[in-house]
Amino acid sequence: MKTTVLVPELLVAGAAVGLFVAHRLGVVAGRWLASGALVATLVALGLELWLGGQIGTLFGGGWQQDRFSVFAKAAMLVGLAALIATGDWDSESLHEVLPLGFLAAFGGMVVASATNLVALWAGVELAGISGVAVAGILATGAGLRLLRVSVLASALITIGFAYLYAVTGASTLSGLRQTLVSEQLTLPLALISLLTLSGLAVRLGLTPFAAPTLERGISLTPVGSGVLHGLVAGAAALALAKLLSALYGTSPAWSLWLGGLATLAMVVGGLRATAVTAPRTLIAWLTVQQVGWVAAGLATHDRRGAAAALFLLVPLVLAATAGPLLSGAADSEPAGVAGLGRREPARAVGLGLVLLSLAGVPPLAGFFGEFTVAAELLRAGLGWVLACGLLGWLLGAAGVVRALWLMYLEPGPEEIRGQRGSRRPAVWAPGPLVPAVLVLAYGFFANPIHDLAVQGAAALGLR
Amino acid sequence: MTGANLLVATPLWAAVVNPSPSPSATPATFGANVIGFSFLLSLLVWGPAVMAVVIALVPNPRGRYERWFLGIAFWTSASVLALTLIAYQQFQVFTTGVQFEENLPWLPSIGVSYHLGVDGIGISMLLLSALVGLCAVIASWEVRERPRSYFVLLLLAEAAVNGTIAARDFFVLLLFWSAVAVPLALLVAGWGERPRAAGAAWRLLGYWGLSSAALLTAGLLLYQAAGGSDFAIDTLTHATPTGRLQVVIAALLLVAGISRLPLVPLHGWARAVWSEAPTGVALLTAGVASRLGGYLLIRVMAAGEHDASRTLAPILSGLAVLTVGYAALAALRSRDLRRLGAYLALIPGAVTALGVAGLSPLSLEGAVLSLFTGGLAAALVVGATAALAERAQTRSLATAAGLAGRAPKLAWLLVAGCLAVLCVPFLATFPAGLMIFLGSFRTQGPAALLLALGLVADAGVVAWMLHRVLFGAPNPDAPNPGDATLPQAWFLGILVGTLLWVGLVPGGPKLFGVPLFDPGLVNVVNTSTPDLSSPYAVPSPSAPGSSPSASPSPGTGPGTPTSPSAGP
Repeated sequence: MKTTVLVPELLVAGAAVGLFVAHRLGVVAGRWLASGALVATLVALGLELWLGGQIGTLFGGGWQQDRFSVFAKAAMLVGLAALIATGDWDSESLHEVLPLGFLAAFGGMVVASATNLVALWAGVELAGISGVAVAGILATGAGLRLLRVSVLASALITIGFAYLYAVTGASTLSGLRQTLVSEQLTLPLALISLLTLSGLAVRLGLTPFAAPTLERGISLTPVGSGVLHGLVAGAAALALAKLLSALYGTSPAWSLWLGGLATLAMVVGGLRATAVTAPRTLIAWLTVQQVGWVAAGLATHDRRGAAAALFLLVPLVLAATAGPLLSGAADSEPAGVAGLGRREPARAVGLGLVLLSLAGVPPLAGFFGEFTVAAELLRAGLGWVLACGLLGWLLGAAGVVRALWLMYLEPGPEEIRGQRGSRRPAVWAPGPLVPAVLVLAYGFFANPIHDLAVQGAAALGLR
Repeated sequence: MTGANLLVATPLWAAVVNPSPSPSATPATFGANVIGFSFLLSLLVWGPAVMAVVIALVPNPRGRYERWFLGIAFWTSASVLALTLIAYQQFQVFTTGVQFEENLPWLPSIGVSYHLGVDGIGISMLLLSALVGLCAVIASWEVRERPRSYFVLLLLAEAAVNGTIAARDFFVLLLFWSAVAVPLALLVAGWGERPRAAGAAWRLLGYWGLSSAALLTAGLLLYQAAGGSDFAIDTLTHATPTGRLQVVIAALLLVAGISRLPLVPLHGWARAVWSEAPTGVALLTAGVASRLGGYLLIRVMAAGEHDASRTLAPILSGLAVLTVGYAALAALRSRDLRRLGAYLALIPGAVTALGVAGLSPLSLEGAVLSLFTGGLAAALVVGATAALAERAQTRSLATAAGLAGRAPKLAWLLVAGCLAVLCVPFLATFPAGLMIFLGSFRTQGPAALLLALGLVADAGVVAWMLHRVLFGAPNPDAPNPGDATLPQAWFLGILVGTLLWVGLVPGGPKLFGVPLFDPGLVNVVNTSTPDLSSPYAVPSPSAPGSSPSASPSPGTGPGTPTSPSAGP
């Protein structure tokens, strides 16, 4: 296989370094940096889809290109592109965080091509550290608190990986799978599997492990939240999918557990979505809910369920990354988005569609993903998970409608202050329309995307 | 697969240009001999959605062009109606099967296709949707508050309704079925009468969300029972789930259908929405969006779950009776004109439900016809009471009195609406009601009798209401009422005119036996009811000496060509 297949990774890593250096030196204006970053991301995405059709390995089998890695990398790059396009290019925080966003995406790409536990660990930790660094740059206190949680997650993952290697003698994922299929499931093995997955669940933001990262993420600036809840969680989801395929032999230990966590996430996320009013918090809980659907798809521990989970992952990464940026400042109260439809129509459209997609409302991207997961849940005999998911779906949709109401039907703060009737010109910015178009267009291109997701799941080696 | 192929997605537009061939015996090309393109249904579905986007993006500096939004919405709805009328006129009544079919793979690995098509039931519902949609826009002529958002949401709702009707794939059906709720809820919340509009919107969302969840569950269970390979409605309705599972599926479909129709006890949203929503939204909801409940019961439940339908038929007919009785009692107690109209608008849904519960060829045909006629009647009564309340500047029955002398047009339009919901002769609801009652007396005799008595009670309530509001002595303390404005006269007139047209010539006008421009609604729905009702046909008694095989009676077997009938 040709090494040109590595060009997208090099581009992303190089862009991270270049952005960091350029921002520190101040040699390039902010808007040029952001536009360059966007171009680099789009070029990397195009190259990945073009060059990624090759299947093979590099570095003696340590790096793999297959359909799963194409899909996974494309998902990360789409999320990254949405982050850049939606962000405020004049904002200082965006330029501080962008290099770390690229690093998080790079971590996800490493995960996508990982063939062994070391590479998998490296990718997850790179993404996780990027998330912590984002929090630390913007708010030291939040960063320290997140660091403690991250260290715990890292410890669980590291110990788990080490134990798995020790028990099976295999460091490659394929070797792990082959060994565990024939290995008798013991209590220690089961517990270690669960502990390892718990570490990944923290990174992913899966309830009840979501609490620490959720709270910290909401307190960050929008771009920081986007990196943490979108890109870092996306990388964790990819690692989860790869690890679960390797742990196929221990599926009796974790499938029910994962199904239970998924149920909890879907119901709790939906309930909290109806209770909160601040848009940032709403986005965070809807993200938790949709993460639950992804986990539910993976809990079926077969190829079709994994394909459905991957198919949902793209809308999740897209919406979770762009959502916080569309909702605005971290401390925005409900009044902050009241009347948004008149003040900033493009941002209102983008935020509305992203919220609806996170809630799984048709005909947007999230609905397509959740529907395919629902079909696979029933096929796999996990009707109880589906029932809870439907409840969460209804609740989440109700929460979103209230937010839409505020945006379009309630007067804005300036109107409340007695300036009703005075018309300020509406602000039209193109950036917020990018995620809106993507969540709308996802359904139209569902055929090839889902086809690639199915191939990706097959490449994981699941039956 | 090379990298180049990965980039070559299959855009929907390319597939539209090269659709898959229609499997029907007579390929349905819209505008045969004039234009041949097979994306008519996509046009009817996505056209309003695209124009909604156009309205959303049209620049409007300082609000100078706000009437443009109305204009765009009006011409969009008018175009949809024109296209639908042409399709209706070209609909082939001498063949069964789906016409104007479009079928493209969408998620082939799980068996989802972008599959649209209409049969007799579908084309009549599309015609209803187009008519009521245009009337809803005309009824919104005086909307001045946030018109851009209003008409965007109205067109999106119209698009979703059309998509639900034209869907031949369960995924597509569910997608549009669920998508109807959000724009309608926002319309009710944003433009309804304060302070009750918010509550009405939440109720709508709650009940319709429940129906979506029930429909999703039923569809997934059917999918499993059908082998988990295909979401086509034809495949799902031919699945043979086991007895108990079939009952569960049918019960879920029943919940989904009666939540939308609505029937007691899942009717809680209807009074609030139909009395508090702006007139155009109430029209759209009562006239066509609620009809989708009956459409689902016929299209999926009755067509697919035969044994379970027989099991649940007494429940459905009982709920229909309860609904009619509730409508009478609640209307009698009501002191609000619009709420009274909302209660009366429940009656057509109950009549449709009785027709479905009857499960005989005649009652099912009547039920299909009543989807169209009942929708018009419900829209008319809701629209007329809303218009009258607006022109009389009061909703209170205590205040409004003797309005006929000062608002004669509105008065007679309201009378027509009330007569329509009571299935009075010469109006379109009469042939449908007659078929339903005649077809249901054998299978659901007590329910049919009770429902008929309920209609008599409703007639008494209507008479009381009309006397009080229209023909009694005017109230000197009431505000001075005005007659119908031009837009009000138009949208109510269209509804009445259609009711009269179908009521007088249900089989279509003929000149010396030759059909003219209208194939006749009864003939159109007759193309699909034989297939629908054949499992429920009562075998004709065998003649002496012949084998006692249970063969369907003539004219009701599947694929039997139907001859144009002049109706009852």
